[in-house]
Amino acid sequence: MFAIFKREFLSYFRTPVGWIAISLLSAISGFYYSKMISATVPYVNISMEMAYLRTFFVILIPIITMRLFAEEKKNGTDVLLYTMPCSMKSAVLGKFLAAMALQGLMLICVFSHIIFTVMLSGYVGPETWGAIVSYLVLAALFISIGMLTSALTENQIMSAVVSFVVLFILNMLSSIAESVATVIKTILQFTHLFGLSDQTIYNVGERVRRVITWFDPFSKTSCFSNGVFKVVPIVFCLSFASMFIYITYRVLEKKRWAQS
Amino acid sequence: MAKKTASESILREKSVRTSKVKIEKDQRFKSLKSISIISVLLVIGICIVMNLILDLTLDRTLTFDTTSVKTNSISHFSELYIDSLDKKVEIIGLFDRNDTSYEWLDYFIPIMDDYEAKGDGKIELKYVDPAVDPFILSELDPDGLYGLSSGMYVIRSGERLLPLYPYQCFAYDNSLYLEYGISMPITNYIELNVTGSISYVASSRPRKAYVLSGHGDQSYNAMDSILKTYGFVTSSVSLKGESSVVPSDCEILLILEPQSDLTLTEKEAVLTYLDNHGKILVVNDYNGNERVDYSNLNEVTKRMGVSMEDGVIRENDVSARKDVDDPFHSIGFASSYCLQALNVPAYYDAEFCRYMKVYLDNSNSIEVAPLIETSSDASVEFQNAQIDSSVSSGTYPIVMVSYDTSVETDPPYMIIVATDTFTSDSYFTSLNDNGNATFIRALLGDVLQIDWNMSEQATLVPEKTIPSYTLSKPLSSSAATWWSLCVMTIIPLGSLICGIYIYHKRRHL
Repeated sequence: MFAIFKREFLSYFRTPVGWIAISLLSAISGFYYSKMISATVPYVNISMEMAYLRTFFVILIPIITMRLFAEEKKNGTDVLLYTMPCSMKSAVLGKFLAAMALQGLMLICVFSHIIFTVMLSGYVGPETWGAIVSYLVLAALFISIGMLTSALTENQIMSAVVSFVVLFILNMLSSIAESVATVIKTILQFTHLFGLSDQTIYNVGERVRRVITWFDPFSKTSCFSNGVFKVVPIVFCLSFASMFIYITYRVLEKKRWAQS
Repeated sequence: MAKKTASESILREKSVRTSKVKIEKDQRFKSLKSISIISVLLVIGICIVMNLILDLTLDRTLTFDTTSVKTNSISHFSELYIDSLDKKVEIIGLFDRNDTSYEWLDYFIPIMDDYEAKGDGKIELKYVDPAVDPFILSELDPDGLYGLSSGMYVIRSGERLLPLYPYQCFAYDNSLYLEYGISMPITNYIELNVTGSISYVASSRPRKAYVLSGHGDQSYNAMDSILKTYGFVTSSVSLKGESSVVPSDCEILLILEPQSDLTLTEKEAVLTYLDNHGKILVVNDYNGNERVDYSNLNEVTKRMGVSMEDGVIRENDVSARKDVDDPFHSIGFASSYCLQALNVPAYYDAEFCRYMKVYLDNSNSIEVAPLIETSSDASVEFQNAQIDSSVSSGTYPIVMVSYDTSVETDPPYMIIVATDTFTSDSYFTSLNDNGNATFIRALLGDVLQIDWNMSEQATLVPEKTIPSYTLSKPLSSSAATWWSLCVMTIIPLGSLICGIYIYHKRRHL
């Protein structure tokens, strides 16, 4: 697994992908940080910066994950992957950890901002570390989703587009939940289906909204930026990440058998 | 022939063997496929169920407040108080819990969750967005007494209800506000306000307000409704009898638009009441009572540092008039003190305002503050268009508040209003969306210590300092530009150059 991790991690820096990803994230975070320090009243809150960076997962994660398996297919090296003398689990985990390591390395800019803030006598408290932890667990979840789309699709562009769409939907889940609930309420109100009272229709809509919102990893982890450390959202993100990693493994196993 | 038959049989045997292997392989592939599908479905199911169970059972237990002053959790005092509650209390947030447009929301959500978690079923927390469920406002406040709207919390127990305005739960950095106009919260009083409000709504102690009767009594339904929102029962009281006293349970005495002066007995009773930590609201406009001599009432108001004069305020600035042709129907402006102390609108409706002025003798320990004022271009007209040369054009108070600084605990208070547009039933068609009603409600809340920051609870519930994210070593503009340039360019540009270099080196590989 370590060999695959090493190969995959180094390959990010043998192609422009890793450099561009680091450049993009550090430019975005640098812009936000510079806005904070050059304001009329310099107000530097790194946890707010982390919350801002989370919204860019939708662009950054597809860039990192699109090549994980789709490129193997493009180069024809996927056969090597299926026949190498280590298990498919190791291959999947190695690639996942490599993408995570890159994501961790991308935070170098945030760590530099923390150092600057401390140098300028700003406040860096537990909220900041909580925000970084939540950022990383969210990254783990989204990388596993990106990895699955890379394993499912035939080329890199398609993989990037699919993972972009999935992450975008996750990003908008609260709004989607709101809209779905409104649609359900409107339908029930107009059709007078089941003869429900207005209050019951409202409750039904609310339930639907809550069920959909339950899957929203962003709202689950937003409290970390305020100094609230919750174990359950971390378990949520990591368990779903494991689930997607497992599905990726099954997809590749199926392909391996189909090849032979 | 025999040779042909032999080769045919070999071929047939081969094809049978191949098809046997194929069938075997197909079966293995099929079983692998079904194992894959079943295992994936199983993993998804386990994942969802496990997280659901965790969410429902251990979420609250496995939540830790990592802030230094425990901003996100309630103090030991609040816990003890909630333990002692014998009533169920509802906390209703009138907005969507995930609505990020409220910048104060991050401070409220965790601590409110903690109230519910530690409430042991006695505290029920829910969030209902009136935009999604329009019935909620009418359900909570059928008579529209509380002016409920989106973006506030409501704390309710049985019949008692108290709105909680989130912006009022913070102390802001005054120097930043004055210098840059930025409202930066520095202290959070959320727990103090919420525990105080819970204590208020759960308490069954009735509070009493009295309206002075016997002076051409007007109806006071609007004031009654406003006071009811704070749990007050309003009754009228006559102080005309010999040795009359203001009832001992009176928390505020209302003297609303008297059409005649107080009698000597009334004056004495009110002054005694004030000396015993009393609070009074005096409303005396200049419409229909121009010729009444209010010397006794004036003695009462002078005791609290305000003198009511025999004149009416005329608004000369046309843009500050409610009706451009009517100089006596003007716009009242909230003073900077008022805007700072109360979360109220900036403009009000004021008509036929009586001229009043601060009256302080040397021995007076009274503090007087104007809350609502005219524009800077108002003047005073006296009876029969007589002009007092000592009164020039300028700003005049419409509403003032005064209190005795010599009394340390629970000092005597007086609210004096020079117009009846803040209290009269004829001006309130609705208490909702009415700036004057909002103002008088907020002012009464402040004076009657409905603002729990000033109550006895305040000494027990700790205030929580919000960590300051402002840099303690402020940067000069050139230093800020330099730092900005560093953080925005060095790392991104460096890695971009590396990316381009690698692309050039390896593009043919």
